[in-house]
Amino acid sequence: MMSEILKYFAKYIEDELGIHYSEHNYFQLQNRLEEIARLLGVASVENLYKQATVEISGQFKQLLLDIATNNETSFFRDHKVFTSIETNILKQHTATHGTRPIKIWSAASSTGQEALSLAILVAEFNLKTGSHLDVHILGTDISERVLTKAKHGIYTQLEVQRGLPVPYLVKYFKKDDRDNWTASPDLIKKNRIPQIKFKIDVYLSGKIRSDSLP
Amino acid sequence: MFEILVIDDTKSVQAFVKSLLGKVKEIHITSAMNGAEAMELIKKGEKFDLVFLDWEMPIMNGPETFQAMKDSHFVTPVIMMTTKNTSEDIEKMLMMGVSEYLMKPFTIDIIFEKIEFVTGKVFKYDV
Repeated sequence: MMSEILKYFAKYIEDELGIHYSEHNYFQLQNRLEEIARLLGVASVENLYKQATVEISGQFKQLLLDIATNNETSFFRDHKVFTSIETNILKQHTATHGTRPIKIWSAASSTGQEALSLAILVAEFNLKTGSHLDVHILGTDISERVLTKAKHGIYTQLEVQRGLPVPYLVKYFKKDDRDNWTASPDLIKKNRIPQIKFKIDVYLSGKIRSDSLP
Repeated sequence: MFEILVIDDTKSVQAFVKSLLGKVKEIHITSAMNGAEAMELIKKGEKFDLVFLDWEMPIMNGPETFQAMKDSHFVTPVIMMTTKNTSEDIEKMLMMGVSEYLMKPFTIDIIFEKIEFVTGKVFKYDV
């Protein structure tokens, strides 16, 4: 029975998001469904399934979509990409278009580390080159939970150590007495870091989103 | 061989760092229990590519040890390890010339990432 239930949810997730759960990852799906049942105050995964066969909507749907994405992220993840953005986009754009603003979309922005890394990259680029490049960063994600964290900009000591060199950490973040680090609005203002907007993404099932940046 | 000096008075931290870095066969680790012991090694002319230095130690703490290293013209990059530090403490040590910080808790990937930040060396390891 449980394997039928897991198959049902795996198919739902694949239909909605285009993310495929292979059978050898079903144990992970089961753990996550148990977590959802606990969060929603439902007695078991079987009961969750009964509810799903009637309707999947609201918080239930949001939690299901949340669990399907891994939300794995870190600051300056894949630093070659950031080096390339600096060389091939920021430098070239400044040389060709001067200070004409540019928009960067951090799609599947998760808890905000990528968008913040982009903002730091631009701020450091402006400082280093004496440019006044105006950059608008938009972070979107299908998960409200991760976006809430992104908007707060509060990270644990472990999270800030993933990918973020300490000189940037003390320059752009403030530590509190619980050992969490917040992307400080004052420091962001002082360092003229670009503004970031985080919005929920309207995800099109299994298709690549092709409309332009808002 | 990539030579790393680990200066920490806590045997458990020493063992933890050693067990993680020991996964890489190109890395050799030398341990010192405190700043004074580390300075003896340095004064004897031992060469290192990188130093992990604990902030909290009974005999010569991290900042004192770092100052002694500077006074001895020891120019090897230093990664400071710490549990409790304010942003201001960290900024002060960066100004003094410390290269990076490893804040407890940390994981194996964070250690190797810091090594890469500081030395540019990328090591392959199995978790």
